[in-house]
Amino acid sequence: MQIVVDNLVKTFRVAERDPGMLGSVRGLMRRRQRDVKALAGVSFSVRAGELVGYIGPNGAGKSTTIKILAGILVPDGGRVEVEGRAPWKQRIAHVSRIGVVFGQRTQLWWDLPVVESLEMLRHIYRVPLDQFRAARDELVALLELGGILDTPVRQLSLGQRMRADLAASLVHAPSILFLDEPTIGLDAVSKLAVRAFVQRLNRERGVTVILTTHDMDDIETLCQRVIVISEGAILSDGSLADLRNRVTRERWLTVDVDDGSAEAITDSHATVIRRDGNRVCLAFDPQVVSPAELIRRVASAHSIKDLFVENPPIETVIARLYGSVS
Amino acid sequence: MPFRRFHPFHVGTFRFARALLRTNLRSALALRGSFWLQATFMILNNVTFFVFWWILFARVPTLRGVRLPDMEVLFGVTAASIGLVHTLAGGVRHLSRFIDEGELDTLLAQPQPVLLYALGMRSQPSGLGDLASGIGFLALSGQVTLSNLPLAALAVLTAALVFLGCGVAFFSLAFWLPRTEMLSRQLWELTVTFSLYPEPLFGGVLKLLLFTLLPAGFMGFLPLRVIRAATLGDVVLLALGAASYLAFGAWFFGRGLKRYASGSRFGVFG
Repeated sequence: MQIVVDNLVKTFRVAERDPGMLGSVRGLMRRRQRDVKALAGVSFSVRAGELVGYIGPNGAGKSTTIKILAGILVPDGGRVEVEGRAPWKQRIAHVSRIGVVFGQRTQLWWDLPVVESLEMLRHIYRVPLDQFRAARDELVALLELGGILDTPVRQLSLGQRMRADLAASLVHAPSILFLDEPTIGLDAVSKLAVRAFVQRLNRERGVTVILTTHDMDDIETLCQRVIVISEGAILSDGSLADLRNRVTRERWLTVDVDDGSAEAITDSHATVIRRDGNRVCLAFDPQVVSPAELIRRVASAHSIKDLFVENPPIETVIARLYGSVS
Repeated sequence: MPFRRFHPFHVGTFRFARALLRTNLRSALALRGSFWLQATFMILNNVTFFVFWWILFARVPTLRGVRLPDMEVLFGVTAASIGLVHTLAGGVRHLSRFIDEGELDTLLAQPQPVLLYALGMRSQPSGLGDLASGIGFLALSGQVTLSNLPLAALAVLTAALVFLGCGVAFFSLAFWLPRTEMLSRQLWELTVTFSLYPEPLFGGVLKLLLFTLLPAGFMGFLPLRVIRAATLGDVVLLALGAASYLAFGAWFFGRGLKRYASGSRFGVFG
């Protein structure tokens, strides 16, 4: 295993204050604190070359886990080994082998052109000049950075900056890449570009990728495996299909009618999720009524123009999983 | 890429420091208008502060044995040492913010010593104004000649190291006491303020304080003594003081780093 996490624990101490101005003044005299358990015994392993989605609601412990794996935070308990090293104990040797991209924070120099940030990173990671040039040229081509290399980072769009940050995280050819919400705030085109690049990186170079995101399209497009964390504990660890089956057997039948009878479409073994003009969406359990039987029943009473059967959106599945815990 | 052993004192670290300084200065110089304004106004600011002493010594030639050239040396050493710190290690002033807002994350995720990286990340253009005015005051004093120029350079360098060391310690308080940037800045500026007053004005407990908690003595009084009439004892004390404050600052930062809790604030870099 390339990454081993065993019973990881991390607690933060936060100040508590009563509401209002009186509460703030009282807080000057007496300070109350409470411990917040961000991680309560998290365990998982990752093989080399895996592309893992690490998801959970806000405050679940995703970023805390990633920061411990990246050597930024020191845990309060448990064991972590990344390529045989404890990240916080052998920080410099560890981080020389990983790349980290924070969606909310850039590692590029704000007032300087992209190319100068990349040059600075060569010195930071002590990459030999010939290797750096080869890596830089390849990344510039793959991420289409040619037109923005000489542009100060402050003048880049969010999508351009994210592509440049990806290049910055890879100049030293790391074996593991941690992506902490890399598509946050990006438009649809930029998201597609980032996803395509990450997929290619994983498939063609075997780079292990751990991805945290709230964008379920990222998960569906990229992740072979999804780990769900909530309130500092692992809820689920497996493929997307396993996750769906675990949370719900539900399927959705969407029907377009051409006789204006959408309002009247119902079935005793299905629930109407939404009606929108001539379109109706029905949720059903295929173990109670088969898709073919449900379609037959609806078609016998209405004139169908088009229909399709699908799994519920992954957002719905995840929301139900989160909801089942809270 | 083959695995390389990294050591904080590897020659690669010095190359990194050099590249960091170069990148940092280029970043500061990228905004030309801001650079010239800050540097120029810092020179004017320092000259303005000194007007009081020019007026005073025009009326009172000697004050408890202190003369105008002595004050010029005091100002010169302090300004030049502050200029050095702001230019080469300007990140010290931002340490509290780096700690409070989780900006050490990026540094911790890269294979270089965190403190060195944080210090070298920001160059203050006003630092060059301080440096220029400091050199100007020293030249004006007439007390720095070719014969004692190495001692004067040593005095400025050691004062800079003391200033840096105590700055690192003050701003590292944020590891234990969040949102104390203002307190740290006030402690730092208090040290500078006291270093601009001549030694004979202080005595007893206050003088002890100025050679310990607020090391203005190592930034002003002692360098002045060394430039005027150096003794081996004073030079050794100066060097030891610089080494001690620098070592303490680095140790204090390292202790605090173990408590670092990161943060999620949106931020820029460099």
